[in-house]
Amino acid sequence: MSRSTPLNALHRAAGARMVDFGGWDMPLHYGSQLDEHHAVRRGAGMFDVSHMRVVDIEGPAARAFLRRAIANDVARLVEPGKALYGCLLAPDGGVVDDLIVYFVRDGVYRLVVNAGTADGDIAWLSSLRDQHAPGLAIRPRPDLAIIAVQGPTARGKVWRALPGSEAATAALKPFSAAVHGDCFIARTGYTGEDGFEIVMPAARAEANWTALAGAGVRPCGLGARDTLRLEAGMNLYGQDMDAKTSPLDAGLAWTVDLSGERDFVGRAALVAAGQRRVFLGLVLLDGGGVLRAHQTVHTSHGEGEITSGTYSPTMSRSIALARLPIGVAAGDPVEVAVRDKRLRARVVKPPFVRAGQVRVPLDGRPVAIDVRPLTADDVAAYRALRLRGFAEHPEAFTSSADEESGKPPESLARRLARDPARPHDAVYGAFDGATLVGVAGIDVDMRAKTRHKGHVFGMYVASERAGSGIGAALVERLIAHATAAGLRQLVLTVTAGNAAAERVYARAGFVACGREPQAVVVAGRAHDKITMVLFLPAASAPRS
Amino acid sequence: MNIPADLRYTSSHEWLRRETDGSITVGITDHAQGQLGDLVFVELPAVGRKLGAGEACAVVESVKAASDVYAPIGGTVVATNEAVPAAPEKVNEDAYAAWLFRLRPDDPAAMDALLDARGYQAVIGE
Repeated sequence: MSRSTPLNALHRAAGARMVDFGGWDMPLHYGSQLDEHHAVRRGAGMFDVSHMRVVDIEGPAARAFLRRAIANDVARLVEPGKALYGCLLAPDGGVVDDLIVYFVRDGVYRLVVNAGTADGDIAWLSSLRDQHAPGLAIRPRPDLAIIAVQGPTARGKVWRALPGSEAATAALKPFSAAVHGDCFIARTGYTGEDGFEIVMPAARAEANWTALAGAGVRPCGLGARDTLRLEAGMNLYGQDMDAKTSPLDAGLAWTVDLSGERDFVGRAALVAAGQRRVFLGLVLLDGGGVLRAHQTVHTSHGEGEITSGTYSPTMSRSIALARLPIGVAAGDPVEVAVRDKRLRARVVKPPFVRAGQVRVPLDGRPVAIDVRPLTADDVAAYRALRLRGFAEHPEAFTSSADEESGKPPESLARRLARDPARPHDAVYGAFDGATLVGVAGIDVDMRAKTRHKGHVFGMYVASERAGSGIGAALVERLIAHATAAGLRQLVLTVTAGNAAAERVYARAGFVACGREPQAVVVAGRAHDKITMVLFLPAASAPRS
Repeated sequence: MNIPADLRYTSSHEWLRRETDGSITVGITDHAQGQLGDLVFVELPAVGRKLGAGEACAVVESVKAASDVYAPIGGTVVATNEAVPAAPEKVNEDAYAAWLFRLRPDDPAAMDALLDARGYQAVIGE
């Protein structure tokens, strides 16, 4: 027996194709799922997401309770209205649900959880409450409805449809919420576009939906919601992770706050198990089908599995999210078993699309970059690219062109040859076809006290290819290398003022942790160097 | 629901039409395209392939799901509609114009045993 939202009659009147989703009777589309998808990428679309459940947590112990219940740390939420994405974990580290938690005010938090898991979440939170915070109120809010309005023009249309909402939300930053009359308006979403999610009394839902449609917001169903979230690289509970999946194996390590000593449910199990899989995107290069959940992915590190796959309307090709063996990295070629065929795909780092822009290389444009370890055979190209880097950016490198060009090529060849005493050292090259267009190295001092960390050195991307994601692809590969080698951290230095490089590292998760004044002197001028560090989740040894 | 009276149907949602040269044209029904949603991939059998009745011989995939198309009767593929793999949305636009393949039937009378429009309507319950 399906449950229905306060907007059910409007959906049916609009001719929506209805489906059961998590026990709810929901619109799949109103005619064309593809047109609805494009409406959100290009203008504004709205989704009835009233099947998602609002749960308010109230009481003086709310903060301490949620710091225990959620793997991300709600202590980060200091300003009222701020939101945080995180997971509820079971004691064994499996994901009970993913959710957004809003800090409403001291002692009051609002959770928005998935439809199909809501009853289980409430039971689980209640049992935790009885154990750790008796007296805390856990209040499910079936009296509320939620409409998500998403797209580049979404906010302006909301302001037109809901009088007075502009003043309340014009200054709202992403991942924040404000109260406007009987609406709770959050600048959040599940599409990779700007927009709002509006929580309102169920009795107001029809009037607001109608007003939004009048302002030019297109009604969209769950079909478009799924293609949009997949393009945005966002996980779907029950498909990309579930009670049998560690968040570390589902690409959600960034939502697990292991800093400090905070004792949250599942922490011990996560730390003990470590990361066993990487979670990345795939772009299908061949025709011949559509990537789907549960298809097997064949990689050079073993087999993996697609967890979500679809046709990307924005990219006009099939894309997927997949759980893959450790060691697989963005840029790798793989094959996917589709029916009786093996189709070629390329591994990419999600998101595929954000804010209307495709963010991953498609086959052909730009030419897919292959990142692989350099060997002694690559020494001439490696040396030429290094010399270019030193000449163009003398302040960025500690080596200099004059010193380097005076050295015999054999000394560089030795670096590219494998040294059994230094098993984790490597230099990676990014190739466009046969042309080396970027390099970056990693070395690990194998003494007992230092072999937990890798140093990133000698990163350079040919200047004519700067800004095309090659640096990010190299960093991504170094992180995969370090994770597979069981390293706990990566360290590097970047010359102060080299904002482009710093941005590439920061996007990959590196944080600045120190600054050496006057670290290098170039042509009489001193430059500081900033040290950046990235802590890696513990990895178990790769299989086979 | 669009179920032309001059066609024959299967319970797996294929339609058939007898051409003047005796060949049989096959496609999927309007009901089927509506259930699948926006089609994004179609794979057709090779011309010359011999098909047994009920054999899976083509694939249609929408954004949401993949589905096999079955040979409604035994025969040899004599033509395919290459406009459809190039633009699968044609099936959504007009499922009876966007045919998939033509068969030379092993038994010219086999088609007469299939569902007529009324029978197909009863199958889909509309």
